[in-house]
Amino acid sequence: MADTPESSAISSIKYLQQENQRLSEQVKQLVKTEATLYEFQEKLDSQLRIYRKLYDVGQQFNATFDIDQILTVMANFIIYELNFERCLILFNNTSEDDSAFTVKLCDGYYDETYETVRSLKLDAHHPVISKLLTSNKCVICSEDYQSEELLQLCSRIHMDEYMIFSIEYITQKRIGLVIVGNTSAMFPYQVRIQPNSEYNLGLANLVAQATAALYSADSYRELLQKSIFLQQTLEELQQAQFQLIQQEKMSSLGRLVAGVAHEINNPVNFIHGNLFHLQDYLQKLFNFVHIYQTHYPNPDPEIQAEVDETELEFLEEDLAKILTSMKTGTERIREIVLSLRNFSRMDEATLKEVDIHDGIDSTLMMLEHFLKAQPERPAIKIMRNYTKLPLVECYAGQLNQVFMNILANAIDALENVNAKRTVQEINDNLSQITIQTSLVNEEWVEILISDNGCGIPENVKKQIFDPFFTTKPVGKGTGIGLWLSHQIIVEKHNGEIKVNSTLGKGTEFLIKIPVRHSSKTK
Amino acid sequence: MGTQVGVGISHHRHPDTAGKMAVEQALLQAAVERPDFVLMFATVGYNQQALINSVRSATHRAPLIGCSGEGVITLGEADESNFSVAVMIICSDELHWHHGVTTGLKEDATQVGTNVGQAIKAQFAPDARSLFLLADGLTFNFDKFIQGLNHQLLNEYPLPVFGGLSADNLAFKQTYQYYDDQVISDGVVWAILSGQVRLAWAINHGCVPIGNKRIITRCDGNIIYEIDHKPAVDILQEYLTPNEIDHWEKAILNLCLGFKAPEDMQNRDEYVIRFIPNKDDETKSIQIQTEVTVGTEVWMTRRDHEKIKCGIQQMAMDITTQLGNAVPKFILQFDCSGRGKMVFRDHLKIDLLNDFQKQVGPNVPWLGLYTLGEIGPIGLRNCFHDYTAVVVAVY
Repeated sequence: MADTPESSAISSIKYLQQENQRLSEQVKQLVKTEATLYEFQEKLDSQLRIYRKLYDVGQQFNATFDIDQILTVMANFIIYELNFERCLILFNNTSEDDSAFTVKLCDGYYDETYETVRSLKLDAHHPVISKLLTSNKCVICSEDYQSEELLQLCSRIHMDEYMIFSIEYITQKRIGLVIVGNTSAMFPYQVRIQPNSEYNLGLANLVAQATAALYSADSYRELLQKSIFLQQTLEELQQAQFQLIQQEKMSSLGRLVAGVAHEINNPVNFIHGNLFHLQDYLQKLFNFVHIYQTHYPNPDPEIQAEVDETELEFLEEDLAKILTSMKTGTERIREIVLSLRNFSRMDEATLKEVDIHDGIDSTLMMLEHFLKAQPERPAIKIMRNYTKLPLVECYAGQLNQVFMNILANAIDALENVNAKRTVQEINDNLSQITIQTSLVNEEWVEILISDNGCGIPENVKKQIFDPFFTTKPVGKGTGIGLWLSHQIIVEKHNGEIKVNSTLGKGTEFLIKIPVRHSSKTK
Repeated sequence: MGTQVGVGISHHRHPDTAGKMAVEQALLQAAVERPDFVLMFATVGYNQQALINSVRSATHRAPLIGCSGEGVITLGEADESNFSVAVMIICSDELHWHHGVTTGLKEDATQVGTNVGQAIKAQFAPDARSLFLLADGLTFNFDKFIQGLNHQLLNEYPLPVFGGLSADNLAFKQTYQYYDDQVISDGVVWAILSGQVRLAWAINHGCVPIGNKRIITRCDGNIIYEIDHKPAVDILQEYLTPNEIDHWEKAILNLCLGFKAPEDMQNRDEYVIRFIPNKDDETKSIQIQTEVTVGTEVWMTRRDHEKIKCGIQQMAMDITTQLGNAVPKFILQFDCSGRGKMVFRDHLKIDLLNDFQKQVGPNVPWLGLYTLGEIGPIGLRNCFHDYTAVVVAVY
């Protein structure tokens, strides 16, 4: 039977309805497939984002050897990128007997628990930590997997779920714990701790990278410390070598000075000693001439002519003056010789009890040429404010060297000031060096040497005792005088040397040395 | 002085620090020390009271309204994490703000609308330009609320209403509204903007219907019990994967209801879209944010990438046409949380936002919120929207 138009239309409608229903079901399937795809895409995007960030973190780790910075980067990643609420990093110094882990960094504690957690100590023998360190796997305390031991730790670290990773070096030098977790109040807003979470891999990667970075940082620090130690040793060796050379030079110079002084001393003593005899003999000769003149007032004309020619009266008068002058000269030579011997103190290379004032005076004597008046300026005034001091046990020759260096520098400073002043200005404010000694207590003496020169700028003052530091022109200063003085006072005598200076007013050097060499009480 | 506006954002996890950082940025951008008015949007990972305390302290206790959202939007940034706070500070001698708060939406939304209307009317300024509203996204019933508000205020003093509904990052448990020092729930915070300014705005949604037309066969107010004589929840589940059924909060951001748009709105879009903030597994009913009647035609709808993209372009064109050569003083954006990371992968979302902001106001202080519902006028009618973006520029 052929289809009527109505039945055809009905079957078409029926077909279309079925088709519509089928399409409708397909749409539902498509919607579900799209949703599933989007879920996967979201998950992949999230993982990719974490891997990218992990790469960035790796770069940051590689760029630093600063342990605090490495830990901060790690904590920031855990809280801001992985989105866990809290992070706790603890370390245990295995070289110490105390086996407790102490907190090195805690982040995400924004309430009163912060102070408690900061001072937290976890015993390395705690069952959870022991298990972690022996198994070398992370420990997870999630909401649905909690043992008594794991729960016990919750209250101490103020987390209701957590994961613990260990940081261990191959060398076992450093052991650390990284604890990551959440409080239950923040569960809805944070990434949860779950045994099979994809975040766990990210965390494990992060801890592994941080461990490598910390190992590098520790190794670098160790190398750096060794390098600094070697550098210091090298510098000390160089200084010691230089000091030895310098001491040898000074010793040679001392021997030379002492030799010269000795060689001069004998002939001078010979001359000086004979001058009295010479004066006596001459006096007798003149007495004899006077007697002769009394008894023979009118001598032979030839004799009278010779008397007139000789100017006998003047000769007698002047000869006395010459002899006095010669005596003064030989006295002066004897004093200089004594000062040279005193200064070189070759006979006192070992510790001896000496009068400090003798050393200062000898040094001043050596420098007298520089102190006395010059055509362009009056003499530099020396003020000696000495206090009665006990004999001081010291290396006298070396101590004199210190006085020499300081006084010579003071004279240079005063010369520099005078070079810039008018005669009137120089006369109005005369150059002066003051030497003051005092007894600090029974064990210490103090020597203060000050000048009214130009003073020392602050930046120079900081380096004044550094070896080879000098402000003098090339060829005039070596930069070793004050360094050596510092070594002699501090290293050789266990004393102190300080410099105080005010620009435009002057400089003072304060030396403190013990009366007994073994004394170290200041 | 004119108007100085600045926006700051922070993701710091510490609420004290985050609030302070955001305000400091905003003050710096505005180049002012003390604001007249503060708008604040934040996400719910923070202790809300600690956060508001921090912002209030840093803004010298200037009047403030705001709410929690699924995320915050600023220039070049659309963050949907649990830890974001964005602050807009305004200092002006030409704009004036009058703000307030009312609670009790769940109990009687109409009464809340009436109360808001009364409060505004008491201090209504003749140069009032618009009403900004931020309401609890879980308890808000727009139809009832607007009924009270229209009756008390808007029928007499018509004003465009803009705003959004607060959210709690897909937890659907508790959302927050901010009013000065207070953090409340189940409430409405509002601010009337008055002064010699104008507003340009644009509204667009990006949903398309899927499948056949369906009919609501049993409902009460804003609760739908049955569609096509089947429990409403069962109907929705036909379109959902098992994972989506387990994570309902994600499912309902993907799937929404479309109703035929009223005649006067048909030229904009054929459908108005409704989000489903609540379901009841016992009665297998669902709740929407407007009233519905038996016999109403309904379509299952989903977001459509292409439609959203084209819609954003259209919005940019609409606003720039209204602005002409004027430069906005600031821009507010209320964007549905279902249009963010739920639809677009991160880089695509940012690219779209950047492109939009570049066209509308590349250097304009910009503050936005991912909401659970949007409010914005279409023609002369203040409307409630879902899966929609409402953008308003003040110039």
